[in-house]
Parts: sequence; structure tokens; C-alpha cells
Amino acid sequence: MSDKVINLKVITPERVLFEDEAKSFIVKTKGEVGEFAVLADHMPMTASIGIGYLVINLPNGEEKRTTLFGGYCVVSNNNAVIIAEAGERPEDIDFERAEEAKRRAEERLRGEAGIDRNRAEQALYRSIARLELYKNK
Amino acid sequence: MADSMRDIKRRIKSVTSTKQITHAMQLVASAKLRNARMKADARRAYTNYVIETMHMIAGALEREEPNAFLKANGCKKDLYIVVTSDKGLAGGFNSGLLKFTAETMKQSEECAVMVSGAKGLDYFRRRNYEILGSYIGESDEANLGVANKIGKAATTLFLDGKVGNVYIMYNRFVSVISQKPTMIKLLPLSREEMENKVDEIDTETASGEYKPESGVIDNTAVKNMIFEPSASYLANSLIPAYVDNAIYGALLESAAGELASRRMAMENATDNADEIIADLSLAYNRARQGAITQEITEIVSGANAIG
Repeated sequence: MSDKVINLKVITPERVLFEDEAKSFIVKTKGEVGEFAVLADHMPMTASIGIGYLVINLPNGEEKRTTLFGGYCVVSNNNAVIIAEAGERPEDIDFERAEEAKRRAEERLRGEAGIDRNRAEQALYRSIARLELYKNK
Repeated sequence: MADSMRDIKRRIKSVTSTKQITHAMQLVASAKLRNARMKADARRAYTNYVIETMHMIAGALEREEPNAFLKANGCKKDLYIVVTSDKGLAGGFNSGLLKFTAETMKQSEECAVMVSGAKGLDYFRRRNYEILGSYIGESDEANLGVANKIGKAATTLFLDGKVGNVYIMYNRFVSVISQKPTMIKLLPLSREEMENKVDEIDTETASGEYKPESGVIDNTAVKNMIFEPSASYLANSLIPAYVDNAIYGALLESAAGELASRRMAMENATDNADEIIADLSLAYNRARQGAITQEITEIVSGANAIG
């Protein structure tokens, strides 16, 4: 495999989550576009991002993860910017709160009338992403 | 003599109480500025990347998808969203921006405004501009809800063909001592115009159109860009979000700028008051000394006359 790298930036409204070279990254989100991975020399691309998480493979073999909640990703000539509406590092995740949110969302989805199904589903996906990321910390 | 002494004393008192007010306002502005600046700084990278990436992919989107957001709709009326402050006493903060706006408006055949901030509203109302919306009461604390409201109103006007171009005019926060009147063209989203105009203007030193510079996206790459899930989906979901984000960014910058400008103005006012008080105290002491000397002369000459 070549040793080419991608300059990746992950940006949220609050801060820059990640800014460094990466060997590849995988966007694992539920949304209009499914999961996709980007390696060096990828075609220029703009892709919408759903709710889920991001796995970054660093050149030294390490792996970094962040959650991603909506936004888009622009790739061009080994430069990539992920502009996320929200995102966090594993150390920012409150495990109990995420579990609680998941339980609540599931409860709401089981109940029938008068709920915003879309919103509950989004909350569920968000909490699942947080939990998965937390477990793989 | 006694009269002028009383006058001077009265003036010292009045200047001292003015100074207390300006000093208090300076402290309030400093405290609020810290908060506003933190918010503006945190968001700046995000806003800049949103603006930059959107302009970069605009060219590629345009080829793929004849989207309404991307092409001129033929309307001759331009919409200017002007972000000013609600309150004055902030130095040249509003006047500088309004002058820049009036100057820029000369290139439009017809124009209408949407104003945030009471100062700007007063200005445009007095000059009988067509005002399509006004947002008062939040100028020193940017509010995402307001930004979304302005964004939605402007986008709707544009899509309905009621306005041809949408610009946002605001004071960019360069540093605590410098805020620059700045323009960003929001709609229609087009890549070429952004590039052409920016060359002429040095963004750091002059008022003008703003282009964030991070250089992360390569122009040549835009040619073969692919879109997931589709160009039309991205255009329709990302462009309204881009408009809202750019407006929110401008509100944040303007809030920080307003407070910095007010702090500066109030600091100067306090310094000036100190100077005036020093001058007046000197004049007061001189007058007092004069009065005493005169009294002694009178007593001495009276005693001499008797003796």
C-alpha cells in the first residue's frame, strides 16, 4: 500500500475536532448516504453525512474515532474537510447519559400516538453512535 | 471670583459623574466582550469552512444541477442584510458600516434592506429605504434563532424572485481595536464572483468582501467532483444551511465587534474625563489662590489706611 496521506480536518461549530494527516478514514453514519471510506487519491467528492461516527486511521497505525451528527464532507486532491453539525471525542461522552437517552428513545418509538417519530429515531441513532464509540474507546 | 469658583466646582462634579457612567459602561462592555469573543472565536473556523467549501463546490454543483440557488433569477432588486447594533456609544461602529453599505449599494439598480439592530433601522427608515425585515433587541448577544429567521426570510425572497442578489454587510471582528466593515454575497451562490472580487481587496486592512483563507480545497479538483447522494439533494440541503451559518457567523462577529468598539469608546471617554477633571482642578486651585491673595491684599491695604 502506498504511503500517501490525506490532510483531514474535522470541524464542528464549537471547535476543530481533528486536524492532521490520515491514511484513510471511514464515515459510518446512518443517513442518505451509507457508510463510506476514503483513502488517499480519492476522487474529488462532496458527500452528505448522517448520524454515526468516524474512524480515522493514522499513518502510524493508530486509530481515532469521533461521533458525527449531520453535516457534509468535501474531498479534493488528498485534502478532506468534514463539516459536522456536531461531533465529539470519546472522552467527551457521558456513558450513562447516552444509555439513558437510548432507553428513552426506544420507549418513545414503542409508544404509538403523538410523538415525533423522526426526532425519536434521530435521538436513538445519536445515542447508539455514542455508545458504540464509547465501547471501542 | 467666588462665582467662577462655584462654576468650576459644578463642572468638576458633572464631569466626575459622567466619568463614573462611562467607566461603568466600559467595565460592562469588557465583561460581555469576553463572552462574545469566545463564542465568535469558537465558531469562526466552522463558519469560514462552510463559506469556503460552499463557494468551491458551487461551480461543480452548477454543472450537475440547474438549481435555483445557483443562478441569477433576473430580479434587479438586491437585498442587503445589514447587521448593526441596537445601542450607540460605540464609536464609529455603526457609521463606518453604514457608510460602506451606502457606498456598496450604488452598484445595485434597486435595493432593499433587512436590518438587525435599532441603529441601522433608524438610518434606513430616515432615508426611506425599502425595509423587508428588522430584528431588534439582540445585537450584543448573537442568537441562532434570529439568524435562522433572517436566513429563511432572505432565502424565501430569493427563491420567489423578489430579490436578485443577497448580500450580508457586517463588522468583522479583526481584533479588540479593529472591526472592519465587510460584505459577503450569500445568494445566488457562485464561485466566480467570489474569486474575481477578492483579488482587488486586501482583506486584512481594507473594508470589503471577505473570503476566508484556509486554502484546503484545491480549485482544480472541483472539475470532476462527484456528489453523494446527488447534486440536487446537496444543493437543496446545504445551501439554506450555509446561508443561516453565514448569517449567524456575522451576528457573532458583529456582537463581539460592537462590545469591543464600545469598550474602546468608553475607555477613551473615561480618559478624556480624567484629563478635563485635571484641567478644571488646576483652574479651580488657581482661582482659589487668586481669591485668597486678593483678600489678603484688601485686608493689608485696609489696615494700612487705618494705621
